[in-house]
Amino acid sequence: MRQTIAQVVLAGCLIVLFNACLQDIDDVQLTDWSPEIAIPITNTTYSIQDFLENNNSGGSITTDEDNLLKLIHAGRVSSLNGADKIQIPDVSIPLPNSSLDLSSSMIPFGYDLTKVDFKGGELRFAFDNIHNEDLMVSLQINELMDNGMSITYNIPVSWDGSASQTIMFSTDLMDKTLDLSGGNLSISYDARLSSTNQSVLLDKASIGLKDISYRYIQGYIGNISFDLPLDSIAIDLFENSVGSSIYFEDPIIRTSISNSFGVPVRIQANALNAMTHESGIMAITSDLDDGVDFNYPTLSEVGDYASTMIEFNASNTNIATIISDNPYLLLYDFSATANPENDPNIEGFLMDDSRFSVDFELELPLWLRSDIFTLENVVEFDGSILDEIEAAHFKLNTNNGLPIDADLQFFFEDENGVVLGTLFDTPTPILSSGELDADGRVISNGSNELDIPLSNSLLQQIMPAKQIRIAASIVTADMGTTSVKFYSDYAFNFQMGLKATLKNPN
Amino acid sequence: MQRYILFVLLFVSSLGFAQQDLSLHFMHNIAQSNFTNPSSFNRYKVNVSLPSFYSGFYHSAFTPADVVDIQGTTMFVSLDDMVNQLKEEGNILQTNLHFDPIAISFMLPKLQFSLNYGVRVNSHIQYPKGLFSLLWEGNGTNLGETINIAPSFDIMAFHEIGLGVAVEIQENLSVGGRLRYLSGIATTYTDASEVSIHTNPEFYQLTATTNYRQLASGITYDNGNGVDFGGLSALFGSNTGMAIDLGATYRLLDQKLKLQASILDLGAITWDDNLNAWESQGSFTFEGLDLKDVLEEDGEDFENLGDTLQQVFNIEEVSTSSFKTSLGGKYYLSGIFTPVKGLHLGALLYGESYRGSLYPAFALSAKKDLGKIFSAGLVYSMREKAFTNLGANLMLRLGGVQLFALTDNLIPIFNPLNTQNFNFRVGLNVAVGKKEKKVN
Repeated sequence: MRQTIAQVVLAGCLIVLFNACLQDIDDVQLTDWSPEIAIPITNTTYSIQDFLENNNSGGSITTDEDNLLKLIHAGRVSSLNGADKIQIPDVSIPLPNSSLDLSSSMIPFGYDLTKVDFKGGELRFAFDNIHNEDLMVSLQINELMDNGMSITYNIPVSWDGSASQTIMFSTDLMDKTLDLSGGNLSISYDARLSSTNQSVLLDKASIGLKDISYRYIQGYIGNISFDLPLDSIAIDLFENSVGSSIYFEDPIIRTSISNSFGVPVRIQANALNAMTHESGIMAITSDLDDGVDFNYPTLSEVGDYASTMIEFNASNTNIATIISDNPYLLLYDFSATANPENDPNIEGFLMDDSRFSVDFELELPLWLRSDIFTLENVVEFDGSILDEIEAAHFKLNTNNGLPIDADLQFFFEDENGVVLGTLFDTPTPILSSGELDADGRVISNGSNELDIPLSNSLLQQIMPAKQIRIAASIVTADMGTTSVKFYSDYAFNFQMGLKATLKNPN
Repeated sequence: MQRYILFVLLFVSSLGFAQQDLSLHFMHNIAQSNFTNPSSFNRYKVNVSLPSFYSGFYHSAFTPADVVDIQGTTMFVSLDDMVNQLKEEGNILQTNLHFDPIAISFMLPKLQFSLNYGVRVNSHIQYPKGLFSLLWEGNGTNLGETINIAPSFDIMAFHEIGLGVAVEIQENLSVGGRLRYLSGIATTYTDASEVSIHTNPEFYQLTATTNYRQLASGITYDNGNGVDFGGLSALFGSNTGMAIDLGATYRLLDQKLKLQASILDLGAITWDDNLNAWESQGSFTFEGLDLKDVLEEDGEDFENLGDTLQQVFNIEEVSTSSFKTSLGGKYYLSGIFTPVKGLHLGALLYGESYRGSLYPAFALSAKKDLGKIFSAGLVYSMREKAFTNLGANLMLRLGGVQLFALTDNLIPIFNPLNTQNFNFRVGLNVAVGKKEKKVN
């Protein structure tokens, strides 16, 4: 408060003093004020990994033992569970006599099974009591086991006084096992009159299995098809590229299959396509077109997963050609067939949670050449800040440890993307490739120094700009004729400063 | 109330820019001339000096007329002209205010004793050309150069009680001295003044270096609200010091020629009460923003630039122990020749030291006594970049009362925009008991 008072008093007295000595002054103006300021804009070191991380968000970056960088794009598709694919239907077996020996192949499961571990369902024994009195019935299915012991069911029947009494006996099959390894199913019953213990036949007797769910089945399950869901892998590296041509020396597609079905399975690519900027949809050719069998666990490996790795590279696919057309999406549609040859001698198994999954991976080692690779990025910009500037001058210094040459252009655009002006008259070289040794490794950085004037007319032109589109055109060393490798320690540095003459506010 | 009075004094001093008045040295007919040479004897046996005021200003660089052009009712200020007039090694803005409420002198045979009390407010501001050239021209014209922008502010207010004695050793030789007790009221003193900015021509990286320290006593920086002056210290407070003035006068040519030499303000004050210190130390180089962060959507933006630069010049309040400020020193070497009775022609070589530098001035005087009741004189003086200073002095004696007024530069009265220095002194003495008059 005191300071404010002091300032007011001081100002007032100065005014009084000068007014006492001078004629009346209505206005005070500063003349000739047009300072020139110089400020640094940036001093940035950009490693090749920084660049990849900003332009490759969908993938991962790794290095090999020589620190050669690799881009990895991966996806996964999985099959249905075994229990969802193969179901045991309801079964009904008539018993015309008190015993029945049935070949296991005649059981209407739909498959020639040798073993079933039940997880749920019902065993039903139905018959009519036509003997007008109470009965004692015992049922035995030799192959139906509980903890390894055959099961005998004792069924007392109380006659209801009717001439024909329908009896339905049912029992839970959970945790029971049906062992058909002997090739036969033996079913027998012993029905006796309660009054005389005389053995009698049951009318309309039948055995049924209903709502069967299994934990494990073994046997010949036939030829089963699996349709895997269509999926895709996005490749961000080329997302911002326009009109580029980049050839990778050693792209690799890896297909890794994990299988817990105990049957041979063959996988086939119904479609393996790449969406490219340059050529639209392109088909990737490989052995997957004709189908590839993958490994499966044996009967002694129940519960385990068997792995299969299939690798495709430039020598056995057209992937190198595909990549050179800047794909931004890989689409894959697989199908699989269990027991593709439908061999009845193959005894396999399924668990209720058996499944196979396919990991699809695209690996791009950064060993490449490009005679044109264009990247664009748009950043927000408020051109109104140029209103205070009379003229400006950028200074740009670059120090490049990458084996690339790059031209740069800045497009100042309005909110609709209409170009209002450009920083350079023509795209201007800002990065010069580092010097390479015989192995293609950069041994000496390339450097550039650039003075970039901005005239007053250009400043006026770009003042309405709302965004800057930065376009970089990149070629690898020797004008893209030589493949170069990018190592994790590569980086480039650029320094930029601005010298601006401000406008006289008057 | 005391704070207000102190501020008014300082405020007035900021108006009446001053250097030590040269005209006073030639007014041997008033007691106050003894302030410039303690060996100078009064003409009257008893002298009581009633309140007198002195205010002075000096600016070593431009005059307002150098930078101002008035057209109609519009004042055009050309800071470009102002910057061109500034010196690289530094520019001085100096003010002085002296208030002498009372002084007494009395004479015995061949002895003169004096006692005085006064309040002094002196300010000395030194600023580099770089401070204004940076603001006005920008740093783009000084690539590769290191620009110093640090001003120094030395302001000091103190009481003084002086006890002087002049002794006539021989008929033609007198010597004198004054011992002054100093009691500090308030001060602010720049102990280190280095603030520099370097713009590297490589890509205009900015390096700011500060080593700035401002000490104060009796002044508190009120957390951004400005400066808060403490109360007027008691006359015998904790901030004390001593100063000594020495002088000699020699007459020859049948006493028509008087040669004088004096050294004044040899002393210092030790400030020990209500101490404050502020400093800024550090070095920071700004090379721009990291473009990686700018290109990322959640990265930093250019608004952080201002915050970053502010950190370099951040002033922190720190603790300090007692410190000492020197009064500097003033040197007079003069000769006054009286060819005929009542006409006195003089020449003065003056020097003032400050922070190890000597600031000289030269003056020529012609004064005419018209009987016993009136004297008038003109003084032409020159100092650095100020060559057109024409001063005047008047004394009117009515009965035992002397009225006097003097200035080293009349021109600002008529042309205030065209001056680098101005001062004035007015006062009133009661002087009785005229002693046997010497020629001058």
